[in-house]
Amino acid sequence: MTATVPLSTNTTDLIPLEIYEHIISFLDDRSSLKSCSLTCKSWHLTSWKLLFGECAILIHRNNIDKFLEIVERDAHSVTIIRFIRKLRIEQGGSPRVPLGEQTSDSGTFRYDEYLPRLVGFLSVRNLRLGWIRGDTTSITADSLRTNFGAVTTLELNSVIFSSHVHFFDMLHALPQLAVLGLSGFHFNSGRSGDDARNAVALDETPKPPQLQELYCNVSGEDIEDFLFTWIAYHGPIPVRVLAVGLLSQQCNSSISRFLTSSGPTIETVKIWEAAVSEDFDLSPCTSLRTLRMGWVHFEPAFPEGSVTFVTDIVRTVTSPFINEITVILVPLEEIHLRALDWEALLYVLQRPLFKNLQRFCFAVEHDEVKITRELETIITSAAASETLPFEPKDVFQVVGWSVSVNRGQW
Amino acid sequence: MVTLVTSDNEKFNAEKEVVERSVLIKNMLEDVGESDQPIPLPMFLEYCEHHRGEPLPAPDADTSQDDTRKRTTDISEWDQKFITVDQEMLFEIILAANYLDIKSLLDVGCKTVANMIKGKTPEEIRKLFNIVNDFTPRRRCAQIKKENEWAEDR
Repeated sequence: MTATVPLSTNTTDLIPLEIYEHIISFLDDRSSLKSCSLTCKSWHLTSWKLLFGECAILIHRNNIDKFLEIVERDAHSVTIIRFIRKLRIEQGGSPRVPLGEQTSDSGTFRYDEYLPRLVGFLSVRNLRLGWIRGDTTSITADSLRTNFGAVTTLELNSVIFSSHVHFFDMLHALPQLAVLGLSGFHFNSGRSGDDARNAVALDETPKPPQLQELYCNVSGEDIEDFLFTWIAYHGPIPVRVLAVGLLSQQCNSSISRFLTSSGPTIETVKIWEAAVSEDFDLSPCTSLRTLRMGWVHFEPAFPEGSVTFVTDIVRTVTSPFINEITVILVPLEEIHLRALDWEALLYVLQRPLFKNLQRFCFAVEHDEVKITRELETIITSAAASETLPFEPKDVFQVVGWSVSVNRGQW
Repeated sequence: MVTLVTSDNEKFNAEKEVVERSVLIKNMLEDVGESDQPIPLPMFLEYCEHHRGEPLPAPDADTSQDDTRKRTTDISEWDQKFITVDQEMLFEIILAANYLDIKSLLDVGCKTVANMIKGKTPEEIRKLFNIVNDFTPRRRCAQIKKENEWAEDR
């Protein structure tokens, strides 16, 4: 079929707009959607809805002024502003301002100054605010409430608040908030020696949002400890996906207390930092289906059976719905898979609750074939594998995983 | 069995299970019950026969406005062959699928047209569908083009 011959007007006159809209809805590349947006008035808005509904718009100090021109024009004519669904704002822009330095750079903008001017974002549901340096006040939270009240996903990326209050204000400015991502996160202006746990009494804190997904990728033990203690203090939240770092025994205890109340609804747990397994307990997660744990070391120098982290975590699983366990390996030149305490792991996996396990994956960046062979040898020779409630050859597998492609996420 | 009658009065007999892939026919059959009253319809039996037994979309399934739906122009091999017809026929199939409310067939037709659009300039698209450039003033096009630049990875 050639695509260059024009259709007869007898046919095109019969095609209603909703058919064209349905056709455009199948376009999956930006270039085609851009062409459609320039075809005619009736195609323009449909194309923009799809185009700016998919891609994230990044605003920073080098383009904020140009962007504000469009925001101002949107008051008088239709612009992209009302179609943008994912907005990323970097306060500091790039290159970033070093921690603790005054933001004297003339190009830097502050949320307090600019967020009130970002109006007309009727479609934004996914908002990322980056590089806050302890300089936000209630103006930022008020602007979020006024201009971005329909946001359901908030990501705070490399953020320092001058106090807990600004963090709580920000969360409560977004009443629809269901997904929260925290990465690189500090209170108290990020001063070293200030412990987040000492700064506020829990009975003075507001209730947390009713989050369905919580991605907590913070490096400060005090921050993580505080966040989960705070949420647990106010009772369960209906969380389905939880991503955490197991940074210390005390952090793990706080997370486990949180799981005691909020665990039953959780279906997916992602461990971003596999440092310490003590006191981490998944047993309250009775609906757990997916467990992923990352950055596990299998170094050649490690003795056989010396890596116990994976088994320690899997041992606490009680959900009969668990169908995927994935271990993400630290990329090394050589992977020593026998460093895992296979005997103990296979013993744990003999429990009947693992009968629905579909995949037990080892995610590796290279040497997939070689590691697969090693895995097969281990499974075949392990006596305990014969008594597993699933077929080990079908379930254990090695999968490819790349830091750059997956952007360090799993 | 159900009797289908084309617009030029040709009659086809088909199993109820097959023709009920069309929501329109399904509703019509429910309205007329088990009577022998013939239902006038254009040709679509081959498609429905091939897809017999496949699950039908839920009655309240959204069509084009589902934000979570993954957009794709992938078409199965059989559907690809089925829909390899001239452009006029392709649009007749789309219009018939739309009228008969056969979502899967409508999707196949629309995906095929979406593939035709890929890689074309706005002018080429206008030419293909006999669309008039109705942007006024003309500088509006330049403005849209400039705003489109924001849809890049930055």
